[in-house]
Amino acid sequence: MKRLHLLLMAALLVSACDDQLVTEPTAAIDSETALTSARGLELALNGAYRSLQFGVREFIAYPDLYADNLDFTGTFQTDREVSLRNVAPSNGAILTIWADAYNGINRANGVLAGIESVKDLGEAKGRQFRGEALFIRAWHYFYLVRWFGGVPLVLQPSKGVGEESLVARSSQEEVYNRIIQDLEEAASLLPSGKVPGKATRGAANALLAKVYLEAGRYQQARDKAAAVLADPTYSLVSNFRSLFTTKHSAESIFEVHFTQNNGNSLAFWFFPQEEGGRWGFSPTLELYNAYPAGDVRRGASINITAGKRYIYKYPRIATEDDNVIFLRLAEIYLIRAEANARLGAPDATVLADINTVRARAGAPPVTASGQAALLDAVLNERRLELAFEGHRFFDLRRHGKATSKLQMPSDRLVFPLPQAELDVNKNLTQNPGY
Amino acid sequence: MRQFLCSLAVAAFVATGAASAHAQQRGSITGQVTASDTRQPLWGVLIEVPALSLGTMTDERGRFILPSVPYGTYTLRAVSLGYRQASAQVTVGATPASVSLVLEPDPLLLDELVVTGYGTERRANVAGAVSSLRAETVKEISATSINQVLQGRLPGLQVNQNSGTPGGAATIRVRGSSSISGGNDPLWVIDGVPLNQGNFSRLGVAFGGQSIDAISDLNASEIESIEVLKDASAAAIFGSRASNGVILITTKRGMAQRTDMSFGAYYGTQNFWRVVKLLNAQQYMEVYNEGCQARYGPGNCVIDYSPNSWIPSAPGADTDWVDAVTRPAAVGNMDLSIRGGMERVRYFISGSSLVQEGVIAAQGYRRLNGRINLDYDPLDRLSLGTSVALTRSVYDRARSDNNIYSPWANALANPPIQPIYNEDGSWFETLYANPVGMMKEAEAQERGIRILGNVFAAYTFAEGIVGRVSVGLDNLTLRSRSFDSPNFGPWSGQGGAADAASSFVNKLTYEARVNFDRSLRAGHTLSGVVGTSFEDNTDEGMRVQGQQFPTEYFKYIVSAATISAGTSNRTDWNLLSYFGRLSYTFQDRLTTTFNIRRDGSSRFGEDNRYGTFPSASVLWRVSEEEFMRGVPILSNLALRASYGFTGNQQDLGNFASRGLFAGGANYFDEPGIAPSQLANPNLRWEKTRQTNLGVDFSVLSNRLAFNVDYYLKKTEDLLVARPVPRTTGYTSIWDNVGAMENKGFEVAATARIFVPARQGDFSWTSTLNVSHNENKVTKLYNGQPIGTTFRVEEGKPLRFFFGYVTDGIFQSYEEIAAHARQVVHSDPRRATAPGDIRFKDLNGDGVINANDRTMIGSPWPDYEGGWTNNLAFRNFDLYSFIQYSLGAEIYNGFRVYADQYGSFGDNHTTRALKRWTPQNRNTKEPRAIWGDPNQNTRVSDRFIEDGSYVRLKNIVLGYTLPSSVAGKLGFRSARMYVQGQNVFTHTKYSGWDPEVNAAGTSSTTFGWDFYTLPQLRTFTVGFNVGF
Repeated sequence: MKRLHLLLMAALLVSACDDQLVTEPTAAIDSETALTSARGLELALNGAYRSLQFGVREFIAYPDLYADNLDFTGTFQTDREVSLRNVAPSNGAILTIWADAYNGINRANGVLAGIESVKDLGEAKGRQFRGEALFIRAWHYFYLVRWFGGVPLVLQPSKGVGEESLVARSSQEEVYNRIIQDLEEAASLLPSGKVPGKATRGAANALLAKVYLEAGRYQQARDKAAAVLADPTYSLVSNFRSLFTTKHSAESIFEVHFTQNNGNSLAFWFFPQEEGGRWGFSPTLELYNAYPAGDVRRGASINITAGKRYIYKYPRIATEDDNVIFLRLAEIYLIRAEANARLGAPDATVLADINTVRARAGAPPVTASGQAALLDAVLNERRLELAFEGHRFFDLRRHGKATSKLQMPSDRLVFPLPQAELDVNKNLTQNPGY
Repeated sequence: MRQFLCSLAVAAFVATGAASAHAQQRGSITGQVTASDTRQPLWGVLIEVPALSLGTMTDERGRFILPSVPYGTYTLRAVSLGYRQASAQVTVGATPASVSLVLEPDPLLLDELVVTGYGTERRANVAGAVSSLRAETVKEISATSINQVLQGRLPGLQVNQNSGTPGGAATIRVRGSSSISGGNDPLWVIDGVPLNQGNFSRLGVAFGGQSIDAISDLNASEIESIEVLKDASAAAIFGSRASNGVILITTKRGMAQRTDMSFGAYYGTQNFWRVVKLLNAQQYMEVYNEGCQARYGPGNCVIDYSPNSWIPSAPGADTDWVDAVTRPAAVGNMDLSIRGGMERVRYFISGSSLVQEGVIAAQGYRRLNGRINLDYDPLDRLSLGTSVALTRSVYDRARSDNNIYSPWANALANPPIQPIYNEDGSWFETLYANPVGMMKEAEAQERGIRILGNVFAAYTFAEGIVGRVSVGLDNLTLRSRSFDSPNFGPWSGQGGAADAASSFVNKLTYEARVNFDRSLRAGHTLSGVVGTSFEDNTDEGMRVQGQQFPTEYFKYIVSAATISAGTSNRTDWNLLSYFGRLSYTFQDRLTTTFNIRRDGSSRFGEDNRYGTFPSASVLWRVSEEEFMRGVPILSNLALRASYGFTGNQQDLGNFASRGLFAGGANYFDEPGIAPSQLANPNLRWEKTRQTNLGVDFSVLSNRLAFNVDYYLKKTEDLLVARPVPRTTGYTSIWDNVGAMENKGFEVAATARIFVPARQGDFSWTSTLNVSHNENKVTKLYNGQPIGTTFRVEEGKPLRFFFGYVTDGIFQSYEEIAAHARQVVHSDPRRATAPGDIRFKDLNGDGVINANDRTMIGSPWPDYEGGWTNNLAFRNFDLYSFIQYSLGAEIYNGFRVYADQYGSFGDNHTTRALKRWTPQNRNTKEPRAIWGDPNQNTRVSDRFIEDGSYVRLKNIVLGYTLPSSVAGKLGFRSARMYVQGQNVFTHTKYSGWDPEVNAAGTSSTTFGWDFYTLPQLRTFTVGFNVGF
């Protein structure tokens, strides 16, 4: 029996291993402690910027694929549905667009809430962090509202998944109001001048101009555009191509920065096999032919190998670290031109801005007269200047030309809400027609 | 420090045993064993003295000797498969003891020892649902993997080879799937050591659904027995990991007084058993011109051999791409084993080498296995032992399934009008990356080294009370590398790319237990075990990726100009357990068994760390009762019932209950963090309650025997990565929600049709097994469904197919106008037109949209199993094994692209020749049109096919040389055989193979064919010789 006692002792000793049942993660920290220091907030703000890198492939391609700038040449059913302008609610890509945006919004919300509670941050940093986080949140909401219409407005970091997380949709107007409110505040908080890859006062104003235009508030759009154009920080670069080969040029107002350590696969997706890519999309012949003779933008935007046209604005296939320009000065010229045209400004005022952009590209100046012709000229100029930068479909829609030019039913002017999201949130309603 | 104490505990225990050494006087026992029916001596009978852990085997003349037995009186036991065991009292003293034993035949194997968790039990007393496979069956077929051995042979065990990829994984389920996100693989335990299971490759998703699997490392020929624990009573002793059943493998061990040496080898070739017909160049051009012009108008696109062809081509090209990337492939194996022992030392040593080529030349699998199992009895009451297996496996891999660079997928998809090479010998830039180029310009290899084994010490405290401590180790190192040549189009952009990764997976198991088996008084026996174990798991890995290589001759990252990514990581998880079993038996008439296990896992929060899993069972052998003596037709009748709880935590993350911010959310090369997981402090074990009712009976003097089991398995608190509103910033949260149910029955019937009276007479044994399982998800969080095509919904089977229902073909615009709105477009070339598929408006709202989807199929079979026939006459033996699966459906996702007629350039199956045209209206196949505007290829019942099949999985014809001839050649025995595998398959499925799973890396998705490499037909010749 003595040995049985020893056995029991051994068993007891084994049970001393109880402490071994506590193991700690090695690549994460507990959320309660993550945002309780200035350093933590700084790290989380980087994490929020990181969210702007999500889905840049779709950010660039879908507005052009859903319109007339890109043909589908890949294999993904998700892209195919977009190219056919018949996106099913079950489409995985729109779920990703939706989920990525809200992921970024939650990251920004975390920073915004953290700033309130962290004592050692200091006022200056607090203001700057808040401005940056508001800018990031506004960017995501602007992307969402353009694709989906009114979306749920979530302004606090998520703590759980109870009833309070089942947020209903706000109206499109409410979403725009919130975006504008956030951006106006951000513009007041952020530093002016140039900070590569980061939000600045100029970036907030530029985005505001864009948002106002999309929201139909042309007066404010014009004013904000004028403010940015008056900012000596920014100027048009003389070599159009260099915009896409040089990072953070003088023309760039806000540019999401990629490095080799965290790159994207843009060139891989856009280049043809011969150049080491997958050629998921091809610029349409119509777009290719739309550039006038002498316009350097055609060659800078579209390249051809073995008869295959491909997007050439993101050329770093070897290093996969193409930056993505979210806002640049040429667009601001065209925003002012469009706002002016809509506000009934003299022809010459509108044409001056358009032709400034054209002159840089080596394209002959346009002449047009009357609001309709001027708006057509702006729309066309945006197509040529801003192809593959995430604009075309939204431009056509804003000009009321989507249904006619793209021959699509009006209930396809927005994407459906993702079915998977409707499945888990009973307070959501689907867009009509889906 | 704690770790040290853990180890110390084990060491202390070993020392207690060793301390009991003292000398005694010794004598010997000799004897002979004969069979009662033939009166012939029995060879290979295990003779043991349980009280002393002494054992030996009888020789050809049925004789044995046990030397050096301490003086005393002992019970001597004789055990042989197929005979009831017999025992005798012997007294060892100055005069040598001599016994003769006569064994009664035991066709039902009631005396066979069944390995259960932490011990063995006699078959007669096993009340739980346990299925066993013996070395004899393993030996019959030349299997490259243990999965092939298990498939179809045991009721309740479903084995599905995911693909024909060499070394690839299989999907294995015991009594269906019982979890949504918690994992559904059974627990594998080899010689008491739980295994590292699954795919530890860090090469990422490049290889599609066909993962490698650590289970492939096992060598079937080393195996003595396999037991599958199916119900709660049998499995509960493995507690929190037993919900999905437990597969126990016991390897061969040495035998005293006899040396067996055997050598076996086989060689064979593998090739397709079916080839799916695709279009040739002429047919292809015809369909594509039709489709393209339907969309863009005549004259706007022409597909021909001219340089202006809308889809690039080369004059005269008519490439059979499948033929270009495949070849008949060889498979071969050699096995050598030595089994024997001396008085106190017994050994089993084996080595084997397997080489399997892939039909895709870039694929292959090679494996070297070595094993040493040693037993040493330094003292009469003490035995020490070790089991050590070393495995080296080499996987040559090629991308597969849904990967755009898969040679196989691209071979199926590429247009036949494109050639392999340009005239100058360079690769033709095909529509999808050139499949032949892909094979030659890419290489990927994974090399695993595995050390699997244990050391143990067992001490007999008193007769029937044995203490045992052991330390088990499963250490797996997997080194992976890949290289994509800069010469080849798709990779030229990055200047070539290389990947190097390593995984180090370690599982250490400490275990201490006491087994007891005592007769209280006549007929009453109490047996069982109590014990504890601690398991320490580490998973470490690293991965580096490089780009920009000077030329294709520089293949390692040392030559890369750019290091594009690098990472390393490590996580741990631990499990602390206490377990016990108490079994009471009365005269083989009644057995009741109670099991309990308490598990503590580091994966759960403090409040829910421990889970307790009890079970109970009862067996009543009615035929032993007096009142049954008058029913001679029933030679055996036993009733079994069991009930109990098991748990699951397999696929749960190591920190799933915690709210976390993860690193790596970097921006501008500055570090960043981001919320990665919502906290759920209430997270707890997934629990399964299982009821099992069984009956075993046999008739006609045991010539016909049946085992029937009915079970009901209810799983609650399902561990689900439950989708949450993405507006929270998260996609899911680990939660215990929902419930699932599996119920079914299993029947195994064994018929000894011809029982030989003498050696060499005709004999025929036939075994049939049928399993039926019904899976149903009974509850989900707020009834919310999960997933789209492979869907989870209340009241439906797990991951059923969800999609549209087709309703024929539109013949006219009038029909389209009269039907619910499908695709309307102001451009008629982009809208629904005659020849398109009509989808059913299930909710009658006049619009065909997502709300018109419904259940269109289930991937789970209604019935599956196998039918084995063993025939022998004189020196010939014939073994056939037919495996079947009935009632499952397959979603043939390959056809989404392959049957999208005249669209996007993919080659089509010959179904395209039956497509709708104004002249060919009476057809099920839609028209050809570029872009498929009506989405004829949306997920619908069009691609759901009957996946039932019956397959002659193995047929083996063997010839054993007469022993006189073998003896002259210097062998103790010699047998030659020819074997066919997957020789014949009957199925209505139109794809390459109905046994398919493109989602091999998913624990729940099943029945999906997506460019998956099929099972192959194999013919082999081989021989086995014994020395």
